Amino acid sequence: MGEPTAGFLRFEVCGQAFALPMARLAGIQQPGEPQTDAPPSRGSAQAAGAHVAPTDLGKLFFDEPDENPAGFIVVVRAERALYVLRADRVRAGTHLPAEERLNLPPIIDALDGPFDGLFKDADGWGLILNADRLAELIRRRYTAGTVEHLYELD
Amino acid sequence: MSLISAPSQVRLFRFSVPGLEAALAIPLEQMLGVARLPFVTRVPCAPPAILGLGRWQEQPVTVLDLRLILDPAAERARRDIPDQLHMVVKIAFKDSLCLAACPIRPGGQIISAPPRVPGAALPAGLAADLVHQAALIDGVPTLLIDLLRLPSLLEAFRARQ
Repeated sequence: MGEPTAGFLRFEVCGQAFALPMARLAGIQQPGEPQTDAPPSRGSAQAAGAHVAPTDLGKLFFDEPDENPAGFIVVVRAERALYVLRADRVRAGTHLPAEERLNLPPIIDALDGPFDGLFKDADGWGLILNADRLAELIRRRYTAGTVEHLYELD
Repeated sequence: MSLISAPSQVRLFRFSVPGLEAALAIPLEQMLGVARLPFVTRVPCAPPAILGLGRWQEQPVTVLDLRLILDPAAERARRDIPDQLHMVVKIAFKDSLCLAACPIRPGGQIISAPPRVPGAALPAGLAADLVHQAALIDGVPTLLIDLLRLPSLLEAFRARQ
């Protein structure tokens, strides 16, 4: 499951815990902060500082209504591009030692979802996201029309 | 010379699930226990029959909605039932043994049944895919569940998504 001790950003979506490898994080913005860190997309008229519409993870993961427009913005670096996402709450970056990370159970692994493994969180589990498969999911759902916003930055 | 004979009785765990009237049963050797799972973590992009992941003896256990597998037209289960009882079983899935849990009602019991039992009618509206046999055991119509069929059913659920 990767390095012995790896840095992760832990965040919440609809009350569930998730983690993203810090190596794939391109930026975080708190609610109310101006979005000045997003680089302009190739060929786009938007310059740095322009408003972007993030992909809401609550809608993407659980098809729940977008009730938290003030959520945190998380910019994820995937294979092809950067993706701008909205999460409900972001916890501090943390280290997850290898012994606290588990492989996905076979039934869940077979779903080919956008996650690589589990970590213990309170009484349940958090899911460790795979940035590239998350990007695939976002593109697929956007094409299917079930996700309203896709902000892909080159 | 030893005589190997068919067992005179088969031990089963008979139970019922919330939202379904029928009594269900599985072979006792597939049972690992009955437990209250304090929290079920939802899994994104999972089919409705997969309620999420629970924690049992510090291990992840996939929580399945047996009722939805047996009755695909049923409504999706509520996930927020406090202190929900679960049956924990081991199932073979793609060359691995894994843990699964299913919400059940209180009152499950271990019973013994002869190897051959009278048949009973399958209740209307239930899918037969997971049912090995509908039988009359101690006068109670009971659906004998074949958990070995679960992997292919879950694959079918996933393909439909």
